[in-house]
Amino acid sequence: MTRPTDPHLRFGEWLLAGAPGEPARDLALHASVCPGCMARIAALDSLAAVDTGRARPPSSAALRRQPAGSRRGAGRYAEALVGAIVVAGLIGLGARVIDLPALTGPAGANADGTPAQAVLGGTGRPSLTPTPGASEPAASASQTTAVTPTPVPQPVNPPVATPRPATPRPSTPQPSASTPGATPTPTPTTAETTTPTAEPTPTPEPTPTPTT
Amino acid sequence: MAVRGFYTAHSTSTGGSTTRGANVSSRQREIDLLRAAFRDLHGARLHGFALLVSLGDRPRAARAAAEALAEGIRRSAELRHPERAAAWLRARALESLRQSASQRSETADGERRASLRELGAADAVYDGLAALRIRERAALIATALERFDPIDVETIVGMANGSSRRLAARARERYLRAVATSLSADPLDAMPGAELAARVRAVAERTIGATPSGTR
Repeated sequence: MTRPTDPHLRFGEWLLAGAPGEPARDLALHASVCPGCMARIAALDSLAAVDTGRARPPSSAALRRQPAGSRRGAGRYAEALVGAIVVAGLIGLGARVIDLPALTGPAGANADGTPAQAVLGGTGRPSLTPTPGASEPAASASQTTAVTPTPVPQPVNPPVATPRPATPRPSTPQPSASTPGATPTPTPTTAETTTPTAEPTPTPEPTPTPTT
Repeated sequence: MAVRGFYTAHSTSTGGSTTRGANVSSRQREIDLLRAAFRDLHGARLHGFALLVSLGDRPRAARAAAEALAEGIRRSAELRHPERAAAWLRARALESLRQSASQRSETADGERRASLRELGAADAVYDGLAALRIRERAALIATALERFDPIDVETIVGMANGSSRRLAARARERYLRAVATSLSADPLDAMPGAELAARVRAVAERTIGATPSGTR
């Protein structure tokens, strides 16, 4: 590789090599009148003007500090966790407030005009309408009872008897404990093992069919 | 210098105690001196190095410098070449900065420039450093600014001699290309403390036969 004769290139090489010692005379002469070379010298001098000693020693608190990226990540996790807790809490609260048995419960709860009593009745909360109790004055209690109708338990739906099949189902044979060695074999003894239900099964009445 | 001071603190603390208890206390005192020396002599410059390499990212730089310093203090008792401690600390800081380089920084550009300005770095220097990769930046700072020996530069960038030399030359070239265009081509002595300009001017003036005036 031949050495470039151009002083500009050679001065550039000298700079890139770390500007060791003194430049050759012709190079120095060239650089002192070359705007490009002067700019490069200024660039290196401006870098050399930086003093790292002006910085303060790092505090040990920097070790305890989390880097920005992981702090952001931790923040995201914390937000997600809080969100999950809030959602779970809302679901739990909703399940308590929306008391399904009370909604499908006796009609008396709805009939007295204060459904909250029936809904919140099982939660142990104080009822919205005062009822005559031990802690209430008698006068106000009497007024309240006069105003608020007392719920009378009424059967909402009459019990409907489910019609059962008339023929008994064959029961599953079970091995008897008295004969340990015997292999239980299923025997179709439906007549012997089946115990007819003692309770009277209401037979649905035949639907009257219109006759022409 | 810092490294020499560190070495002095290390050597003067070795006393000639005879009893075992005295030896233990002397050893402890030696370790304490080493720790203090690490903190006092290397802390500021190490932090400045980390600030430049991280391009003014204060949290990252502080963390990297503190980590390196803490490890240096922890291992100060097993230090065999105290004069190489500065390079070793910078290598640790650079490693930490490289590991955290993938994380998105929250430091704004203006804040970065401001933190480097406190060290005396002009905006053109910031632009030049920003044009480099992190390892190139470390090599450039170690050579052109802190003027470490080649063996120390190898330690800092974690490369063999030839590779680290090429890395430093490439870093210098890229830096010059980025900065030289933004800097005005003023007379060589325009910048205060322009050491390189003074050297070139002195040679040039000797060459043309003029009496060097105002040069070293």
